[in-house]
Amino acid sequence: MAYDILRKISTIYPNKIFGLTLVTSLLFLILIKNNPLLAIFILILTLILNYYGHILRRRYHHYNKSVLMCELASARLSESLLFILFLKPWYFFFIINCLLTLYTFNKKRVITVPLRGIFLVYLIIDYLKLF
Amino acid sequence: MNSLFHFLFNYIVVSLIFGQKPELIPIVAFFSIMLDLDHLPYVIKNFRSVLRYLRFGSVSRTRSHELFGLAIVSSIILFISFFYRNLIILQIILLCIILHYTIDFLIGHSRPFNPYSKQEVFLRFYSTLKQRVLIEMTSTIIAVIVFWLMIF
Repeated sequence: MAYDILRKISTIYPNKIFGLTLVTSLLFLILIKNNPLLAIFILILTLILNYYGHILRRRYHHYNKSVLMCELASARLSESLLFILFLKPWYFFFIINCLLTLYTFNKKRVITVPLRGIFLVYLIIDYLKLF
Repeated sequence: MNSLFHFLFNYIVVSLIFGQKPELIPIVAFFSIMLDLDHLPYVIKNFRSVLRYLRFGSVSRTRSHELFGLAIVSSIILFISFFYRNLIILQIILLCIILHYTIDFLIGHSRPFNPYSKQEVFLRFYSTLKQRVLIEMTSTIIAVIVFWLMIF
């Protein structure tokens, strides 16, 4: 039973998981003002989902450029949603990251900054300061 | 996704985040559907096929409708935010535009790296045109009901 579930999870098309990270990012945005702790957990969930999608892509769709494009585009869209309420300076970092992704896309190695991870650390520090 | 859904969904999300502001409906409506204006040249050029198949496809989108456009729009709004004091209005405008990108990316076929790569990306949440029409119709009806309950 557990093996079947694990096998089914591992066959999910990674683009669906990347799409799900956008939904969780939107949830984060809705919750951050009223329930910051829950929002932080949702951000952690977003990062876990993104990492899982990344693993699936590397394992089963390594040479599929469309899936790589989906991963990069969903990451940038997710960042743009997460940072709307934190316009300065986070949006500046997001724009740099977005341009970096576009510029290095056709190069040998795509360079991106894990902004969401840094943002999570910032939020946790900020939350701990409040209480 | 259709323009009506874009507007209704964006207004619902804006209300959930910033509180209900009926006076902002024109702003939300304009910035929710503004991105779709780039379909117009394609629709005029291929009017018959659009009428026949009732869909545009990712070919009708210009680079302003993709990641490149997102970077440009974000830069413009960030630049304005240094001079314009009312940050909430700017955040609402930005949210409407980004939600448009997000919904189109989730539901349809897109070419996120358009000037650099013409390859299409599809999330495969549905597999046939019939399913797509059903998703679009259902979500629009739900959005209309929620909007109606919020306003009245």
